Amino acid sequence: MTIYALSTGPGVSGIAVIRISGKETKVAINKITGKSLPKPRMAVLRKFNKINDNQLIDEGILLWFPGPESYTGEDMAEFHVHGSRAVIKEIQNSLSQIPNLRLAEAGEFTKLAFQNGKINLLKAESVSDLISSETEIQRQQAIKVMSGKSAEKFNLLRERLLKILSKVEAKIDFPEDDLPENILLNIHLETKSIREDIQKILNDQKVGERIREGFKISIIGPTNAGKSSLLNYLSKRDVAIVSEIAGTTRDIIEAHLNLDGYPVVISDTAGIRDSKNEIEKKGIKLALKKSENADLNVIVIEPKSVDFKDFFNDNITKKSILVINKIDLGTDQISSEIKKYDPIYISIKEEKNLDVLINLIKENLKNKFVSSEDIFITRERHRINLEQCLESLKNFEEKKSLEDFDKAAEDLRLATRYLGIIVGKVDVEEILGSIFSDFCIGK
Amino acid sequence: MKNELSFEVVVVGGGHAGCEAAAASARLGVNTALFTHKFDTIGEMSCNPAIGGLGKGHLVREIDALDGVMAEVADMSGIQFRLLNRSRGPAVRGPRTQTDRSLYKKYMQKKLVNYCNLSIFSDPVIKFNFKNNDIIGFSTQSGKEIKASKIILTTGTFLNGLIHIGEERTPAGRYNEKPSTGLSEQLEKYNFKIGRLKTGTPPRLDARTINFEKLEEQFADTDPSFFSFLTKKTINKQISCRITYTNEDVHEIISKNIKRSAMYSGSIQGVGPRYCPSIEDKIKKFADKQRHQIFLEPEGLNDHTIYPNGISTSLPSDIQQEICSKINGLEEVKIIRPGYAIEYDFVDPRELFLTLETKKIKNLYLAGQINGTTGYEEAAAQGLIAGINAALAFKSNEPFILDRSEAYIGVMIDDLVTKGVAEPYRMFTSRAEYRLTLRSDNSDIRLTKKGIDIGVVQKNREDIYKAKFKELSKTQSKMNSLTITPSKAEKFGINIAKDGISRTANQLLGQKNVNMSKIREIWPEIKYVSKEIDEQLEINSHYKGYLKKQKADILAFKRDENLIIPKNLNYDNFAGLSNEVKSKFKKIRPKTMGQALRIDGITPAAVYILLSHLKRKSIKHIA
Repeated sequence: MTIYALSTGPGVSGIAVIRISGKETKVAINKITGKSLPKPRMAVLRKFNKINDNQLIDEGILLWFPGPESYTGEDMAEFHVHGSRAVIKEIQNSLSQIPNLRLAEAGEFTKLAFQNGKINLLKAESVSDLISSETEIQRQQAIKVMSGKSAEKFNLLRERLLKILSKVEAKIDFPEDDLPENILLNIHLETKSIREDIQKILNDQKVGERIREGFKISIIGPTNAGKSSLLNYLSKRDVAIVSEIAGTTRDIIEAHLNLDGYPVVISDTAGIRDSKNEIEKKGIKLALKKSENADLNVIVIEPKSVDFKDFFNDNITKKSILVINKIDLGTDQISSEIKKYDPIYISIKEEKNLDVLINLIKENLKNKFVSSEDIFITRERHRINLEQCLESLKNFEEKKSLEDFDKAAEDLRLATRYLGIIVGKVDVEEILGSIFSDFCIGK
Repeated sequence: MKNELSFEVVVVGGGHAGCEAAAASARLGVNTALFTHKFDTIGEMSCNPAIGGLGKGHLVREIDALDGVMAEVADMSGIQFRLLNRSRGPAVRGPRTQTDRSLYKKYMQKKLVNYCNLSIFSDPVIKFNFKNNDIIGFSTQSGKEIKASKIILTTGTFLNGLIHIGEERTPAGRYNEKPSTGLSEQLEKYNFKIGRLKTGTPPRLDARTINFEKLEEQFADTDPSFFSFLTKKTINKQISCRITYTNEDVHEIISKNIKRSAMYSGSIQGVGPRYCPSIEDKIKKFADKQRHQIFLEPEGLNDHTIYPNGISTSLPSDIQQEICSKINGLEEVKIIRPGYAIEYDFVDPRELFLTLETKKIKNLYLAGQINGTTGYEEAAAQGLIAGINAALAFKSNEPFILDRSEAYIGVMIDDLVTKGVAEPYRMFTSRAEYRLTLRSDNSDIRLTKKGIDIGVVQKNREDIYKAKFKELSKTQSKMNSLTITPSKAEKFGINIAKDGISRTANQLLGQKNVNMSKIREIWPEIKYVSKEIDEQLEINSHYKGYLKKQKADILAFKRDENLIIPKNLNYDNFAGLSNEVKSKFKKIRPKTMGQALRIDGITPAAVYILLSHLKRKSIKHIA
């Protein structure tokens, strides 16, 4: 099948680009322009016509990329037309009438590029990250992954594992060949060194994931303390419903913010109290869970919230800021015990001291986003596979007896597979290739 | 008319694929015929005199589990049984034997001659007959006109075979046998993708001119492991092989004459196997290696021929003689027949369905080396699958397909049919994703029941299998019901965490250094049935954690594979499916996801669309 889609954003614009990829691209160019193929990768001005009656739709630039030297690896073309809804609609309409052409699914061009071996899985992911990046730091990260830095790192580790695995597999599959006696020597030293390298990658404070997904702040506290008002203030719009009624927020409400270029996901949660209402109880449970997973908890209370000792003891940790709202109502009731926690006094209603709070949050962000050259993980998927790889390597090293050789080999296979999943490579032919190039096999 | 015969399944070729195909079809009760050039070459071992090894041994055990003929014949003609990787864990043990070539042939021929539903003809096929795109029969040299519902072609290296010895070139199949020219052309007319491969053999040596005294000796196992579940003891004298090595003098002669080797003079186009390189290749590619080992393998008990495994070559005969005389023990050796390289055509196996039927010609099946594989065992395993499926198709039954999680046979056929081959395909254990599950010890447990279900397993084996399975299950469930506390286990010398939780006999067996005899010390009521059953229980416990994980993986793999597609599914409703795909789905109406995936011309993307639809639906069902 040949696919086509509008590649620029929907809506009115100066220029819109429609892309085609697949075997029928040549046919499509021919039918739409009524002319033969232009020189590869050279922009030419062409008239684009309806395919039935040759009525002119628009005039624009045509680019022709013969495969495999194209983004997807297949024949491709780009039609640059004026960004009018009617023009786009008519071009797409004409394309749809050509046999074996269909509208692409979301991300399909990149998927094709991956399937045709033009890019690896990490690069495919980073393309999508780049497209959806909203802040500068996200763009920087996506482009870093796209340039292949992470893939290089993971591939290198995987190649080291493959080398070891091929030695073990050679011992298994060619027991009668006179392989060098010492090929299994130092194998544990090598796996240990790989393990340490992986551990280093994992000890990244999850900065990469934070950048991609946003720094997670959850606002928690007792009911009616003004949590939702704080969210609305920070996001500069009414995201959450606020009311005088305690327990208004039951579900979790999230807002995505850009604080000084740092991506932030801020979530407003149900107020903590002893509720009999089943739905509210569930909401409270979710709230507590959210705060556990958050990178920063903003605990909001009001001056009269005195009976809240247990809650503080459980929740005030390094990753939290204590905020006392509604100071416009007076601060007399605040107990000395609460003052110990060094709270910030604000009034959302009178917009008092909010800048202090925001600065403190920013300070916190800066410390957490210590981006370094050593950030390779940008998705949880990467982390999980690395952790499992590590686990398998540990299992491998524990097997000392010859009787367990096949199990040890299995651990190593799993470790290699987990690493392979990250870049999207799993192939037994590579192991065989490595065996045959390193050892003279052939009894 | 006497010269017109009709059969339900006809196998062309009497090599390892042909024998197994004919036997399998006959076992399924279908009127079967086998046509070969020469009766005497049925079951011929044309290359090295050995069966089994890593991966290959697994295949033979699986063939046996489906009641095939290779395993028993190999057991009857084995003269040096050795279990490879004996000490490296049960999953990677591979049975292997040196085989007496003449005995192997003799027993195979005897077995097939006595097979029910099977007729054998020594009459070369000269022309196939077609009706539209279906094959319907063939003509033979003696003038017979054969009609057949299904034809299985197992012509090995005979398609445009070309033998190279140095600069000499002779068209041939095996040594001194004519190639089947003409068939290739007929297949080409149907636009089959044909490729070219090569393989080599070493010179054959006269044992009487070898000085064995000073050479290393490799003995047979004292406790032989057989291929067949039915074999209980060996009937032949067991022999030793000797090992010698090449040396720098030899390497020098080869380097000096490398241009005269057919492989290096540029006269060979075919691709050779990387795991079975010629001695020329070994010396060129691994120049730093001082010596290469050579196994001197006797071709039989009453045969003076020695197969020097490790020095296959296509150098001219005089150079071969010069090389040999420089090797320790071979100083006075007489070469019976020079080594040679053979080039041959193969059909790209991507032209086949998983049943091994060709996609372009209906009722035609291909099995063995013709599909780009190498090795007797690989050929036999394909023969078995082609034979079974031809017979099942004749009976209009469901096809018999083993997948990658069930058998090495499944791994091989899946590899061939989906990936094709770049070099002669050989089985390795590293090709199997589920290696700890696909062991040679449990091939009967994995496959015999499936064989019984389709009717390819004969009564005798069925009874033996059922008795074993019954005893195994009985012992296993007994062991699940018996428990012991950690402190009591300690009294028997077994140290487990003292958490006060009782362990079952099965759990205890998973502990290090606990075997079945230890278990019986604690629970004498667990009766001893056979060594085989004890081993099975011990091995299963040994891999428990891994098997559980592999089982989960396999389930995930099968969940999609076996996902049922509703009969009345309206394919027109699927956005994103092309009309071409829709019409294929509508025509074939696949029953399962796995079947949908195997329809020719169906892209993974199309199947993915179908899959996500079905999954959404099944989730709704649950909710």
